[in-house]
Amino acid sequence: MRLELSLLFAAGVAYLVVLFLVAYATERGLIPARLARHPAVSTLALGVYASSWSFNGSVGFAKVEGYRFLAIYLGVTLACLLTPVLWQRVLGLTREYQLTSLADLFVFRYRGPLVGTLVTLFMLAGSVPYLALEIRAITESVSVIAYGTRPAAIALGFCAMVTLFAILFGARHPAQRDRHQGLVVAIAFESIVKLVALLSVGAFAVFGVFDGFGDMNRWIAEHPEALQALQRPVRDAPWGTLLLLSFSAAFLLPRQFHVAFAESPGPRALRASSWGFPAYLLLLNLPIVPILLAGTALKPDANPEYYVLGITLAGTSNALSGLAFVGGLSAASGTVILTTLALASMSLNHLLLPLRPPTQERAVGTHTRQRDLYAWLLWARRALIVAIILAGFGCFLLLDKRLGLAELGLVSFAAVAQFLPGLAGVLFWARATRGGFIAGLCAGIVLWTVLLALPVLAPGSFGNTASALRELLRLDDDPWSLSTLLSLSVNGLLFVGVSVLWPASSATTERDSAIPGAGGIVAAGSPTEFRTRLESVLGADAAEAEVQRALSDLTMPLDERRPAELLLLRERIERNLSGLMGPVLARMIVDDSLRMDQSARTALADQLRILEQRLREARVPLHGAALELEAFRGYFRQILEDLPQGVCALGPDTDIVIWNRALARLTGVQAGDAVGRELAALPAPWGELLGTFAVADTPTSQERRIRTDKGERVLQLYRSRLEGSAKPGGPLASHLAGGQVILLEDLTESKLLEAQVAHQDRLASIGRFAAGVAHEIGNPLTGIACVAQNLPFDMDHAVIEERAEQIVEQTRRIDRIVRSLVSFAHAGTFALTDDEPNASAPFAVKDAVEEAIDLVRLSRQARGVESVNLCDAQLCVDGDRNKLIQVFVNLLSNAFDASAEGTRVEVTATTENGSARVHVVDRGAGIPERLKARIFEPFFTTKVAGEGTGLGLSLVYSIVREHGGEVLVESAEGVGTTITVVLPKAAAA
Amino acid sequence: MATPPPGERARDLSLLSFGVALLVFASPLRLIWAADGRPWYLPFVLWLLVSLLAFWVARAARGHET
Repeated sequence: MRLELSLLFAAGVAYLVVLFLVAYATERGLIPARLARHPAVSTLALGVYASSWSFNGSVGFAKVEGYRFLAIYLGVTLACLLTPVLWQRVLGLTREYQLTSLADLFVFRYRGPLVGTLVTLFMLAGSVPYLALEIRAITESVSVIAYGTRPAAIALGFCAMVTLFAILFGARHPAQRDRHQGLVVAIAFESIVKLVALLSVGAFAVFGVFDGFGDMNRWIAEHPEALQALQRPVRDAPWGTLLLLSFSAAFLLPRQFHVAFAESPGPRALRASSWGFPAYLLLLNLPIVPILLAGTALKPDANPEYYVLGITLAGTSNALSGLAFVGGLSAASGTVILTTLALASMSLNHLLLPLRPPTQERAVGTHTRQRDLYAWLLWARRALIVAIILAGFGCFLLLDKRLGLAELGLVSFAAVAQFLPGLAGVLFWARATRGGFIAGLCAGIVLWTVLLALPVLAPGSFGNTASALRELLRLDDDPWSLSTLLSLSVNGLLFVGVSVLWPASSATTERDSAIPGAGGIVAAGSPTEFRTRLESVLGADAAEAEVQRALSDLTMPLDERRPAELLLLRERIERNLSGLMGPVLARMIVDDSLRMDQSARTALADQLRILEQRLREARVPLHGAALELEAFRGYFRQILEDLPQGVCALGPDTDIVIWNRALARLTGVQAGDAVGRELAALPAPWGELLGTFAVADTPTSQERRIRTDKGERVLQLYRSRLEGSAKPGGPLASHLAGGQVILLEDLTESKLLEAQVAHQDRLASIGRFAAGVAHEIGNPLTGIACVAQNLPFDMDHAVIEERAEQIVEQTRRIDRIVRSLVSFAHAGTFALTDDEPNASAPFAVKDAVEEAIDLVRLSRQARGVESVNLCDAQLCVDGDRNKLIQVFVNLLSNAFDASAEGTRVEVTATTENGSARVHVVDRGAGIPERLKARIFEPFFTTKVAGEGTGLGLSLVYSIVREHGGEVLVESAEGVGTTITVVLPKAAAA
Repeated sequence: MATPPPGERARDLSLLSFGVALLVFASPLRLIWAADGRPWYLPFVLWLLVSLLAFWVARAARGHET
């Protein structure tokens, strides 16, 4: 039962209105963004692959070719299995470089406007017949199920509706780089509609035409030839070419590339699509066989290509016919809209803009007005949409009406397959050249035109000649397979042959592989200057917007002036412009407006930073040796970052190349703020500290004390120059020459600990001196008491004066003892402050030794042992006097302890090679040979518990080493011990 | 033998699955499932199995999204 045309028209309009509403609701945020960006949506949108050819033509194709019709979908499934190898790589490139079409991708790889123009023209030639196919499918669908149709009017109405939709929801933004979420959701909605429609017709075939699966199987058993007709073609004819065609069409068809990459929300969605898309196609094709069998059983008055509609007429409900029509409408409209948008984007970037770039100003009457670049691009895109759909309509009018949907579809599939060799070069073959790509593609285009397109699309004289040629080449046995294979083979061979025979010039290779920034710096010195220079091409508003957008993408401040950052900004602007007007024009604009200063050279730090940033951002995975090297680079970088010492690597011009985490913690200066700057630009005190250490002719190791916000710190600095460490002539030799690395070790904690230990040792010494102190103070006190008691009885003035003098003398003696004790006790407290009287200065060794002897004499062990200071009074050393007194105190204490009563301890001093050698000699028991190696170990003592801490000689060793000296031990059991302290002599001594 | 990194593993599984699918659909093995008397739905069952392979590869690729 046929439908009224008006009813179909109403159904079609109602459906398109719903489609408009879905897209509108998404754009207005009425559909939650989480839902709109769900991977299922982009997976369903990929279902735009299933065009009218799939919805209607699959049944007809199956009728003729049996199960070979499945090849059109199994090839897609094969392509989806390669998602990590193919799709993700393409997505990485398109996202990173803002490439919105296949032409952009090829131009990005093979360079030059000719590549883009060639790809776009061929894509148009291959796709316009496909648009005609979709238009024809709609008109023929209507003629199958409705009375009184006027194909041209229906086609025009359909074209008008899809044009309106494409303009409203596919060209909302001037740049293709902005995603059209409403469009994607609408296309996903269309995929659901056509799936529901086809499943419904399939269900009608099984349960309406047959009486369930059992009845259908019985019918098949009664008509085995029907099933054999499906199976035989698979066995008898090769279908590899069909698989290859649909494999390439899965992601190379303009609409597929557009949905999969230009409108993709990201890798997660693509991963979901890798299995969701084949599953969707499987569901969509499940009803095809039952519909075909039902059609064969019913023999409706329709071409098998329209059995989907034809068998519904056998039912009693118009609703199913209407649903089947809407399903076909959704398949055709989605295909036309997305194909047109993709082609419009390509045509704008690679045909229109190179021919007629937008100028900044336009004439208005007698004066000129600044042109709005974005509006110009938007309207140009919309005009191209209209032009392309009109071209499809024109092609529809000219097409031979006897052509099957499959033939038209295969013409397009064979066209996009010609891009396979080029894509392989983009993804896998670094030696592929522009010449090879153009040569191969041109050959492919010529063969495609002669062997495939002309015999189908131009059945006149041209077509007949082409058919004759096909016959001459004996391709007529299986024209599609053989012609496609021949064209692809010649294409691929020329691509490889030309690339190998005429490799890219060394200049091109060098340009592509150069270390970023090695080619100079951007002449414009700030983002504001960028804007000014871009204004002349883009206009003030667009220049402002593009610079702001790039700054925002890079989270860069407006006052950025570092050359490396400006280089990144230039690169980002080029990428963003590429998304706006294609890579060719973007490069031209940036090269022209933001010129490079080739004479200036980017600092090594900047080059490394840019390189590392690119590696981090690279979405195209590295492989093989490059991947291994990158892993090693990361490993070594991590080692540097995690070192507990601060590491600062400097380039030849003392700009900072590496600033690790430990150094950032120590200095409070983050790597991002330090790297790329000169040392002198670092905040105080680090700039001066590192600057003087790096450039001055200082020792390669130095201990420095500095005052920071966190207090005083003691740092050990080490330096190593990098000359000669790189392989001569190697790529890094010139960059590393003159560089150096500085290591900073924070000794503050260990110094504090050492000071604390020394203080404890002094306190222990004072404890030992306590008895002696009481004795030494007690004697003069007794003397004072006696003199004072007799003083009232002495009347003679001279005697009184003498007694008073005696009292003062004894008081001085006490004062001297107390002062030396206090001085010793307070010497070098364990807080590191500027007040600490331990600064290095020259002092006389004899005085220091004398002071130490006075202190040690206070101890009980010193009694009965004679001490002699034979040092030269003129001999001076450089150092911390108080610390070295502690050294002598400890050595003398040990000497007195070891000496028997009545023996003598001597201290002598000599000079040798600019050093002072102070010998502390005792005639004691000597040190056993087995203990000599351990006497400087902390807490090692041979004294009984409570007599010694075991820290004395350890401290002696530590303090003397700190002064750049050394401690030597000579000892013989039963003879005595000589400890020699070697210290640097004072310059004036 | 060391386990390959997630990205490599996903690529390996992807190529393996692709090889299996080619064997099923593009090699002379298709003569088996397209032989006379086979049920009409057999190609779809095989297609379903290949789709499950794709699901498996997608799961392996999870966590390695560039």
